[in-house]
Amino acid sequence: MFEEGGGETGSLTTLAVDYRAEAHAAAHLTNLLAVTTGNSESFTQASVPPRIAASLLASHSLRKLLPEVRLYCRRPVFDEDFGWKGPGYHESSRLLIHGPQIAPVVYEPEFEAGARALEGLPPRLAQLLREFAWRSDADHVNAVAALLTGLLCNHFVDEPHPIVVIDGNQSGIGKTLLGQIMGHVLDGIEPARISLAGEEELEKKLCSHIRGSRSCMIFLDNVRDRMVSEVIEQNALSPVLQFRVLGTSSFVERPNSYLWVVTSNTTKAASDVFTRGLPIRLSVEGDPKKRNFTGRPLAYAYEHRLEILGELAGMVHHWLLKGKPQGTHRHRCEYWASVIGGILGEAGLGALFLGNLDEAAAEMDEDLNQLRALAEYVLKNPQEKLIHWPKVVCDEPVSANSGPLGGPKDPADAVKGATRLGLPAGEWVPVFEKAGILTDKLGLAPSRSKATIVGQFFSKMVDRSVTVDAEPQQLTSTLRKHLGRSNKKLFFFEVRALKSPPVSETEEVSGNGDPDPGASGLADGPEEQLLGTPAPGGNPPDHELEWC
Amino acid sequence: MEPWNNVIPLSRSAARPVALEVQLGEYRRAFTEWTPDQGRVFQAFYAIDTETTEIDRENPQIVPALVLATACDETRGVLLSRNTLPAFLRIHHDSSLICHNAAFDLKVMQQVIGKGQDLYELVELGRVWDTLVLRRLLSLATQGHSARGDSTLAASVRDILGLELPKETEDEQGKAIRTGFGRYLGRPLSEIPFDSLSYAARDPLATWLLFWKLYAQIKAALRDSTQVWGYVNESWLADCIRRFGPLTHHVQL
Repeated sequence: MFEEGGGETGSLTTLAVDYRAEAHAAAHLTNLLAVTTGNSESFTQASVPPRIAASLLASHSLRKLLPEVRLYCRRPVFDEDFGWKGPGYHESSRLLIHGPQIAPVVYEPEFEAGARALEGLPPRLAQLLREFAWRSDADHVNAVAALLTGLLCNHFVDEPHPIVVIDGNQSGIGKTLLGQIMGHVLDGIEPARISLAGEEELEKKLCSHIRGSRSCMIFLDNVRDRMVSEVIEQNALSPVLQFRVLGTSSFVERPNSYLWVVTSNTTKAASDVFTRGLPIRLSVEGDPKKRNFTGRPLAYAYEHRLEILGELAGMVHHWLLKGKPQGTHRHRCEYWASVIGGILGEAGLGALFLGNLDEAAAEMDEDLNQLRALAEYVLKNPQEKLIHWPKVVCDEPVSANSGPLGGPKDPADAVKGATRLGLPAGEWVPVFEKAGILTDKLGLAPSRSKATIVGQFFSKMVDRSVTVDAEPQQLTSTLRKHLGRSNKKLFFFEVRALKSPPVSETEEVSGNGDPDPGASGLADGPEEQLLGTPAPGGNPPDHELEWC
Repeated sequence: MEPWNNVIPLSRSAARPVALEVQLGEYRRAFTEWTPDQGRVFQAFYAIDTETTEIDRENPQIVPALVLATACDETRGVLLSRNTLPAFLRIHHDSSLICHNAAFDLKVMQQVIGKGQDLYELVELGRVWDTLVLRRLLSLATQGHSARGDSTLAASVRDILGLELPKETEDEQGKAIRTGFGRYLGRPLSEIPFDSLSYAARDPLATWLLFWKLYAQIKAALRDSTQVWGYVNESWLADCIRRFGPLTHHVQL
């Protein structure tokens, strides 16, 4: 790479990829070197010939002399030890930063009694996100999580970070705007929008993006229909992005410190993609044109970028001061969830972070939707081997007769028959066909492959639950597996009535999800008692020093 | 082997507290992990030092996060985690602290213990001693300059005690130990390498030794002050020390 300038206005240009000089390399090297021909009395100077540039850039020994850049960024970042690094080259962490100096804003979240935890957000950040039509508070908090992920992206390379999925219930409600805002805050520039049109085309665009763009965001805007892409699945969570340069056999390789952002309306995605996601849902009832932003969020992001970044850095710093406590949120990107969950937890937002996952999965996860359709079909067309009704459900016995859509006549029979429960994947094929599940895959497949397709679907959905509406109540159907004769895998649904927890249980949780420490008796815990213990040893120590 | 490398790991397991022995010149001290059930381990005085995440020189308003603290007196040393430091300070609230650059250590420790306990009250009571301030005041009193830029702990130990306290040591990965404590933030002491722990433990030992040497030197300087212009009498000097600290230390702090 060739560094031009430095500080806030510096930039990098690629001189060689895989030791092969780029076409413009010689021109850039002319800034450093010139070629002289002649002797001491008469000589002529010329710019570096491309062949000499190519030889220089192919030299291993020259490369060893150059400083290594592990991460290049357009704004200050936290290094691997969470030290805040400003503009310049940082040899110890091998970070090169071209960007403005940013001061983390000291952040001390304080909540008044009864206030929503979101009211404790730093002011600029709160103002930036204030007017979006969040489906729930959890979606709002996930947007903060997305910005924090972008700020800390260099920490989530070997341990992956999720794809930010911005979903809207209709068009024109601010999904793209939210993506743009993330780009403006993180990089100070408009993020290039990449369309999801064909795998090869997508790969070319991504290659070009990581080679030349100043943006640390991969912004897949307005994905229509279904979010299905092998390129995304292969790369989004990979530690290294590697793409072949068009027309050559060389590859561009970059650490995956990019924030992947996808926007879509009523998103549908396979489980594999969805479980790698951070869902942010926007929702407007009625005509979105009637709901305008009174402020100008994009202009606000541009104008207050440094302060917003300072506030985000301040949230991270506040978490550091608390000793880096880890969150306990469950996500496929485990380390990411523990870090971001920890930061948001210290900001009082831990209870909301990822709080929309189940609800979003029920809407967006295609596989889960297929499973729900299958469960509904099975409940409407009951077969003894396909459904198991556990005897006791949520402290109340649910008899087969109380099953709204049928079931064994006597629940005792169902339990007795539990050992005979389940069918192998192959015997489920007719059920799938009648229910219209996986029709696109089963329709064209030869009959032998159909069992494999159903088996593959079941293997990834085992132990996953779906909620099925069955008037007058809701049922939870969980796909279960047990081993039959010859260790054959048999699949069936376990059905339970869904029961809401009593109101008193939910009311005990305070606004930010933290239980009242006084109520739990923590204030009188062993440490407090210990701290109150008078020092052993009797007389107070003698501090007096004799100075003269 | 250099004396400062003579670090003897005494114990290391998840079940037992961490223990090690450090040496500085001829002085040795055994350090063990302090737990609240040990109660008071120091009496009137102890030296304490903090290790933190990297200091952000560009943003001095940002207090770095405490990773661990180490403390010692004449006979023993203790290793303190973030979790045990508040209880330790509470139990030793009637002892005097000795730090090198107390302004920094107090700020870091106060951040951890929170609003329930005010360390700065100890400053008001004259129970915080800063060897950096004492060293500079002594230099000003005896040499006519304040040793500005030459009063780091290592420099003070070298000049006053004649001992070497290396600060540029590296860990097994070749990274500077001094600036690398941030990577252990939030981790138990048992997960911090011995090199780093012993680096941290040497500082309070050095501070402890430095303080008592400075004490002797300042005492001698004050004794000689009877010949200095402006000296009134013994009770006047005692009153000045009571009100402002020796060589005005309390006021400076």
